[in-house]
Amino acid sequence: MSRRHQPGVDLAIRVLVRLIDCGGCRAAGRLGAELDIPRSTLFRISRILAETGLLTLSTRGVLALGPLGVQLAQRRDAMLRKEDAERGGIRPRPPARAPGIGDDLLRRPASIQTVDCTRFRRGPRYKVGFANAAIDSPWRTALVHSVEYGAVKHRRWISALSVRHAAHSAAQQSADIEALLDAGVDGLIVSAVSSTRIAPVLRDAERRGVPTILVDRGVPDEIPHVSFVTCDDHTIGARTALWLAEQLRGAGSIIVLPGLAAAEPAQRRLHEARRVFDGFPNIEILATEWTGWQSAEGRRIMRICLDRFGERIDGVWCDSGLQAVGSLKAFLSDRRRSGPVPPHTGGDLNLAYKLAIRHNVPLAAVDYPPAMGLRAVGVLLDALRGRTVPRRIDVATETVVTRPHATASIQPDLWADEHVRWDLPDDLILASGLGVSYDPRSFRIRYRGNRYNRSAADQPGGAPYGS
Amino acid sequence: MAHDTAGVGMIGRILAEVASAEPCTATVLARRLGTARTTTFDVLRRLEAAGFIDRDPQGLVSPGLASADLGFAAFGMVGGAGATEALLCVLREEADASIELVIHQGEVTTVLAQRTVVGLADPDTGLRAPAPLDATVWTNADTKAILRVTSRASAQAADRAAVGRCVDMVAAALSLSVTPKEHQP
Repeated sequence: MSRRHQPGVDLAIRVLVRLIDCGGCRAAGRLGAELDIPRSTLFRISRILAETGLLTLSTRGVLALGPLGVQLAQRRDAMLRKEDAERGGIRPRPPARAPGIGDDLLRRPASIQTVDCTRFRRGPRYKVGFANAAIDSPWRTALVHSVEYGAVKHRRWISALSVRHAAHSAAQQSADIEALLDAGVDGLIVSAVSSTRIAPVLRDAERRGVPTILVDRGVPDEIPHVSFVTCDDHTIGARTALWLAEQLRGAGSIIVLPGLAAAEPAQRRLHEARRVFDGFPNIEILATEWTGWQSAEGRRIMRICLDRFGERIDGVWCDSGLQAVGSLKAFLSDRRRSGPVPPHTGGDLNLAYKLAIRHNVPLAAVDYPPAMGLRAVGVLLDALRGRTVPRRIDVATETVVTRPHATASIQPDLWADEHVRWDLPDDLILASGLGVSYDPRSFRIRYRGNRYNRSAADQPGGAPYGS
Repeated sequence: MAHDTAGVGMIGRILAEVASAEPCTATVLARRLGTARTTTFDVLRRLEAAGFIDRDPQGLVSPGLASADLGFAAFGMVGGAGATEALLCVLREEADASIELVIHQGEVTTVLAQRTVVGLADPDTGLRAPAPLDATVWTNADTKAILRVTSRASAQAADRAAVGRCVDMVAAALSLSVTPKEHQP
């Protein structure tokens, strides 16, 4: 049988790869037969590789990986630790722990599943596309800013960023993703409008070798994706509900104001909150109304509730400060009420904390951090570099409570007066990951894909390449 | 047909240099090794295609995932490097603790990967970090891979118990990612 000629370098690489696959050692005869390499050639290659410690050769003719491999693994790990520190992965101080942190992982098995992204590996630099569900609230503005900041922070790796907003239209988002693919993006970040309706176009992306990172919104079971970057909605829903129930000493009538009915995070938070309230038989839910995470809608609904229930409202559960602000304003402008504004939940928005502190309203919140946009960019880069990534990543968040309204189960990571930014605008979304000087109104950024240093959040359709 | 072995020595020399020094460009590497640029570039290209090295946009050469696989396979673990890289950060986040993957082989102990948190000891109270928790990832006749987790001094007993559950779960996930080596060399 004639053997195909191969350069010695390629043969040596094949020897190393085979030794990795079979657990580090192999009899020379067997290895030569498996790789179809003449025994004399194999010994010659092995002796050369052994000189630098890549291999060891036993007198019994067994080849084994040598100590250089361990040094390489340790050097790579040192490099990853450095990257981790640069990405801000090292927490500067301990957070107050939620009860049962170990159980969180049990509940989120995807967090310990991993995805091998070797098939997506390609050389830098990368064109990145962000298909955003909509740009209709300060939170979504902060998310876009966070993704843009990620593109600039990783500009060594990213050649261009294109952002498109779908105005909550699945058809528009499918078209956006197709346009991004046609423009030649290497990787996609998607905040999904409708998981079922955009699944086909994301399957097409995967076929083209373009990895998708879901951020904020999406049903992971329905959408082909590499990783889902989010924040634990269970924690947001359950901890805020538990705080409200304990604040009311287990008895009272409440209004429940969830966010957007079509958004999975809102559904998950509401589900968890209801589960907690079910454990308090003396908590009565007077009404549950969707607000679309809009302040004006929250205010309109709360005015109706005040007309209907008046003084009977003992507390208001909101999954975000976006609508909690509207509810607080409705209470504060209601001249019929004599008592204080009842306890509220829902943070994120600077104004929610400002109003609660200024008017002594007990408030608890678990911020839903827009910093997940920045994290999604980092995960996408890992995927494009062929690394293994977790199937799900929960971005760290903090429990914030107005002083001194901690309860037996809910202790704050931060008091609201430590968290609020009196010097910054009301529509600032905290936990953006953009630094202490981040101001959404004066935010300017420059990357290949936008113009005049304007953020894509300022443009109705986004910032496609060359706009 | 005869196989030439030219360039094979370059593989070992390049990887030894990559393992011992900070990332550098191919040009610098060729200068350090005293080899021709064309040969160095050619060998690097082949090593990169096989995943043994990575190059960043500035052309800096560093060990790739296959290089980490070399280290894991040297202890008989096949395929655990990628999952370790991904999950150690997850565990560090969940447990808020420093994590190490430690290999015991005979009398020798090697730390193959680690992710840390800062400030394990509590300067206010003078408390030291508690004794680490260990969970076995993988074991064979003479080698044992364990996940070692050191919580902060300020961690409460209940937190440490929860951390123990986290560590067990991640160790189980890592052990699933490791394929046992074939028994016969």
